Amino acid sequence: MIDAIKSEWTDEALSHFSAVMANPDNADAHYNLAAWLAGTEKWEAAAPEFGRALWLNPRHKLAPIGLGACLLQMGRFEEALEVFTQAASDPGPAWFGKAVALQMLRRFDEAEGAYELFLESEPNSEETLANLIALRAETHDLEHLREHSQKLLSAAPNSTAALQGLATVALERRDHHAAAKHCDRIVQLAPDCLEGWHNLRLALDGILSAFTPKPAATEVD
Amino acid sequence: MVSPKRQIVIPIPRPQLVSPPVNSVEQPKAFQFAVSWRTLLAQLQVVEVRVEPVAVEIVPRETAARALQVVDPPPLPPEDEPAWEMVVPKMIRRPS
Repeated sequence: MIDAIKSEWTDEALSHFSAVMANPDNADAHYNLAAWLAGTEKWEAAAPEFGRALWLNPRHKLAPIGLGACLLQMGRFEEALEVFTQAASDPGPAWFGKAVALQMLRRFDEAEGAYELFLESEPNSEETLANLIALRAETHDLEHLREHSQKLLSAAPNSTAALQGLATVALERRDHHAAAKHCDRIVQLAPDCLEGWHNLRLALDGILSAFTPKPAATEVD
Repeated sequence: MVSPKRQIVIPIPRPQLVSPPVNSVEQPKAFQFAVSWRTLLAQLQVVEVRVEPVAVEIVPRETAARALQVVDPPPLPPEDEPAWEMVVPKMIRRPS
């Protein structure tokens, strides 16, 4: 089985490298090699191939997406932003890439605008909503955090990001019942989420303390 | 008189776990929200490579000849000397 996978991998590698050797000026051949390299998580090797494809065909639709994605993977957010900005003529993947680069650069207002524009074309993009939840949590915008979390939860009922967003809002507002409900669901879906267990215990403590009789206040002279 | 070397050993109690002060309130732990871009990576599908047919340049005969380095043929032999001779194999009768 492993040999078969190795053999298939080698065949694919040879096929893409051969295509580039045979057609060194063909943008698609370079793009295919780059896409294959990116698929095997060889970002540093893939980036120049995407760049070559883009240089050979400046109107290549997928090469800037690949180049930008590689730059994001390598933590080169400024360069990624430049690539996506040049490619983002209409709301599409390049807009999404631009929003991610802006978020990673902590330019949250601009990132939010780019995400909202992308959501107009893909209203149920789960990844966009999850990234917006991360952005709202970072900026401590509870109302929008709740709004995006509810929207994501309706699109993806098992989304831990959505449940974590709702739990964060509930914990902040000391709504112990809601916090316990969401945290319980989180630990069911992600048993290794330590924050989920901790917050579930706190929420349950909060519920129990409401039923515990408080000691009578003593008058102090 | 008590020898100076003799000491009274008092067992030191181990530090005990103490309950937190009454007023300390445990805080919720912030969830770790991650930023991802799988949407971008999902776009990177292999495309069909189309090779454009290369236009063939038609060059004049002289240019082609120069490029091919055509050399002159070897000189022909004189007319009176046969360039070659046909040898007819003789028929030999096999003894019966």
